[in-house]
Amino acid sequence: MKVITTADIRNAIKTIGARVDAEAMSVSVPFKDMGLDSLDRYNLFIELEQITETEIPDEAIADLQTIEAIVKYLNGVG
Amino acid sequence: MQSYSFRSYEQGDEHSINDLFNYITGANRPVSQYGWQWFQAPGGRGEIWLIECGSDSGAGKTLIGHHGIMPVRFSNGSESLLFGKTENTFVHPAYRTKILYPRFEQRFRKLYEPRFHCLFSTTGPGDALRQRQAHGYTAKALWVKFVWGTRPLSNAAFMVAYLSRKMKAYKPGTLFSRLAKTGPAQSRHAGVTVCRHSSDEAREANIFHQFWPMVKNRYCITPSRDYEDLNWRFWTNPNSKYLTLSLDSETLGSGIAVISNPEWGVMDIEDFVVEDPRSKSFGMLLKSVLQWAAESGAFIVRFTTTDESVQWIGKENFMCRQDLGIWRLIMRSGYFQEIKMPRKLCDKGHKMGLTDHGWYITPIIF
Repeated sequence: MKVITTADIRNAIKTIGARVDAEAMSVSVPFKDMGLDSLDRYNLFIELEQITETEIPDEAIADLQTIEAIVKYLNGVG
Repeated sequence: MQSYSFRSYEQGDEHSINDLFNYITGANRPVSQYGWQWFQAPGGRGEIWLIECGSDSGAGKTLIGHHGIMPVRFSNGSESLLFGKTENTFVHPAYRTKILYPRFEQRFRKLYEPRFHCLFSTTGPGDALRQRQAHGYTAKALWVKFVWGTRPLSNAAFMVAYLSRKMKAYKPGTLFSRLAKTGPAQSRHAGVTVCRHSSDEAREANIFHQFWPMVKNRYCITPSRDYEDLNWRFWTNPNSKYLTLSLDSETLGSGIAVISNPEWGVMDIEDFVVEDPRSKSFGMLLKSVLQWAAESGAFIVRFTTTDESVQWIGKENFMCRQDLGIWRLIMRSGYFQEIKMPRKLCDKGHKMGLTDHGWYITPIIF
């Protein structure tokens, strides 16, 4: 399986059209503090599920609040 | 670890749903009011969907979110339709980042959508509109508010009070109310009889049984005004008191208007239908309602519809808020947002050839 990088997450954030500067986002600051609202996060996870061809369960979402956490989770080290 | 699940309403859920609603909104809605809204509508029981959180400890599940769809009966000519209005969509603040709410709504929607011809929402500013668009709603129709002064200075006094958000300034005896009452009121169009009915009287009046079956064929997509619909929306509505007017004229035909806020000199026309909607009589009978309102002590009358319906009113007769230069300046300043009415045609509606624009809409209130 492809290794997911922080650049992949930033690209996904750009793809969904979130009104934030994806390149300027910190990898460790929660999305809600970076200006991503619930709809942005929803769209982001749809995008990531398509890229990785995996389903991210509802129960995992609570812990996936930063770019860093998503990268670790999708690479199976979370 | 916490787990999340969803399900449809089961008997007794109204207590926890109502508690969560009151907690989030700060309202104090009694459960009895909940019952009127969700169980007694002529369109049938509301779609009530719950999101729950459970834990490994085996403790019971906790309600953390709700999504509702109110069934509203519509018609398109002689066709009877069932539309669904999104209502009371909320998530407990502690869980807003823990779950992806739109995921849940997507799951509910697959289950309830086949019941309806169309879904719609009445609140479409900014973020709410984005949420609806994510679920396939489109937003073409714009809510339009007419604010009419019944006397020469009423509009100006109203605008000042409105902008300063001091509507209580309209209470009898205040400077605003005295200013607004200055000058003569317009006289009523000759030959129009306006009969006023309290809710109890309206329930007993024959005209409301006969009116909609007689005229609905002349209307495009619009909420149904059958007796049962009027009775539920207005006459048994525990949230507000309404006055119902029946209008009659030999030359202009008949009509119905429903009015709220009859006390403070500011009246809202909550519904308005006439026998022949696409004729000059629409505007003339609406004018008769304004004149009746003026005679009854109102100095401001408000009427909300959508921009697709404005043509029926007759722009030459009335001016709406959006037409005022000062209003355009206010909107440009970002002080208020334009509000659209998101709609989503369901498969059932597509198959019937319905469209999501060109409706006749008055405030959809419960």
